[in-house]
Amino acid sequence: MITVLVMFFLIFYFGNFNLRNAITGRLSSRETNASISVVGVSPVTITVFNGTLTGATVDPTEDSNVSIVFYAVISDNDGAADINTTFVRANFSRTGEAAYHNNSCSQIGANLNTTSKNFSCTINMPYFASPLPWNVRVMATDLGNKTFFYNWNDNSTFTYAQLQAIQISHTALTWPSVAPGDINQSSNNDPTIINNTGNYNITNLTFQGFNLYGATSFINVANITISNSTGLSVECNPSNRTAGGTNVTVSLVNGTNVQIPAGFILRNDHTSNNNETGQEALYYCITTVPSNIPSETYSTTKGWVIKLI
Amino acid sequence: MKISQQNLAGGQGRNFVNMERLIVIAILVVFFSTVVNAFGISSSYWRGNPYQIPPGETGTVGLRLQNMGTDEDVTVRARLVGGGEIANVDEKDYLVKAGTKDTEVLVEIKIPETDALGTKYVVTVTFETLSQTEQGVVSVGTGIDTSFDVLVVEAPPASSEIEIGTTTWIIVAVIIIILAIFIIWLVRKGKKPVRKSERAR
Repeated sequence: MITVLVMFFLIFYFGNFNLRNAITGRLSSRETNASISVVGVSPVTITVFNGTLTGATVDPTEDSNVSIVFYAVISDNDGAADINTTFVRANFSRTGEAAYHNNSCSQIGANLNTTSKNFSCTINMPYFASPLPWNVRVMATDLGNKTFFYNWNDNSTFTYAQLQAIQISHTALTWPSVAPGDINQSSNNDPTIINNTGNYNITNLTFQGFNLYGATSFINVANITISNSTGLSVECNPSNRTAGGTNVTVSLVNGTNVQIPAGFILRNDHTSNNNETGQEALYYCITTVPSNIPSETYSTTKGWVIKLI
Repeated sequence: MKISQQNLAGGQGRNFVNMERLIVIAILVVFFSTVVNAFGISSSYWRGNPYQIPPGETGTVGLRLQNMGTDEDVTVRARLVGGGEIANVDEKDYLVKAGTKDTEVLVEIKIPETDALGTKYVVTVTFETLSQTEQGVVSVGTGIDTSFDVLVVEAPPASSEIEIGTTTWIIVAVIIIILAIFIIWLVRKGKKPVRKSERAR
C-alpha cells in the first residue's frame, strides 16, 4: 500500500506535467532563459569636497581658461555597484551668470568602500567669468535611475578672484610723410587694440604721454590727440563730442593721465575682435607739426603708459 | 622720432612750403616696445569685497602678478598711492616671468587699536611696466591701479575657549582612569586569599 502511494507520488510530481496540468488546469511550461536586474531602492547621496576648492579662492588666468579640478564622493546604501558611473555631472553656477558644465566626471581608483565611489570633475572657467562665489553642483544617479538632483543641502562654493588685466597690441605707430607746419595728420596704421583680458569691468582707461625732447628743442605732446573713433579726421579734433556731450577726442598732456574717450571695456570674450566686445581701439593724430624745430632725433626718457584705473 | 628740415637759400618769393614738402620727408614713428604688451593682477579682495580685520590687528593681502599673455618677461614697478595710513608695500621692481601667475606683492595692513568697528579704508597700489627707452623710439607700456576695501570688524571668539574644553575632557579622562585603577585594586584586595593558618583559627 505504501509502495503504491510512493509510486503515485513520484509519478504525479516528477511525471508528465501535461497529465498534472490536465488535472489542475495549469498551463504548460517550458524552459527559457531569464535575467533579472536587481536595482536598489535607496537613492545616491553626494558629498563634494576638495581641500583646495571648497571655500578657497581660484585665480583666473589672463586671456585664457583655468581648469578647476574637484572631487565628489557618491554613496549608495544599496552598494557601490548600484551607482551609475556614467552619469555623474557637475557645474559651477551663479545667479545672473552662464553656468559652466562637465557632463562626464570620471571615477578615480577602486571603490572607497562597499557603498561609495570617488569621482573627479574638471570644469574650465574663462578669464571673463564673474568674480565672487560660485556654487559647486554635482548630480548623480544609481542604476535604478533614482536621480538625486544635485547636492542642494550643502554650501559647496569657491571664490573666483578678481583679475585686472589688459593687453595692448601694435608693432609700430606710423604717419605718412609729414612736413614741419603740417596739421591734422592721422596715423596711417592705427588703431592700437586694447583687450580686456581679465574679469574686471574697466570703466576708466587713461593715456599718459610725455614730451619728446631733442638736443635743443622739444615736441609738445599736446600736439598729439587720441580718439576711439576715426573717419573724417575725427581723431584730430579735440572739440568733437557725442550727442550727450562726451568727449570723443582728447589731447595728451605731458606727464598726466588723460582719460581715454569712452574708456570702458566691460569683461567679455574679446575674440570677436569687433573693437567693442571686451575690446577698445585707439586712433592717433598729430594736430600740428612744429614748424621751427631742427632736424634731429626726438625721444623721451619715460615711456608712455596706457593705464587701467 | 626724427624730423628733418632743409633750409633753402634765397627768398625770392618762391613757395618754400611746397618745396619743403617735395623734398622733406619726415617720418614720424612711435614704436611700441613689443608686439604685445600685457600683464594682470589678481586679488582675493576688491572694492565691494573687503578684507576684514579687527582693531589692533595686523594682516597681509597678497596681490598676484600675471604674465600669461606674452612670451617675454616683464618688469613691473609697484607703488602705494592710497591707504598709506594703514597699509605698507615694498615699493620696488618685480620681475614677472613669461607664463607665470604667481609673483606675489604683499600689502601689509595694520589697524589702530582705537578704530571703531565698521571703519572703512581704501588701499590702492599702482603697477606700471618698465619700458626700454632708446633714441628715436617712444615705447608704450601698461599700468594698473588696483584697489581694495579694508573693513574693521569685531574679533572672532577667542580660540582659548576651545582649548579649555579640550583640557577639561583630558582631566576627566585621567580621573576616570585613576578611579578605575582604584576600584580594581579594591576588588582585588577584597578577593585576597585567606591563609590556611588563619582558617584554622
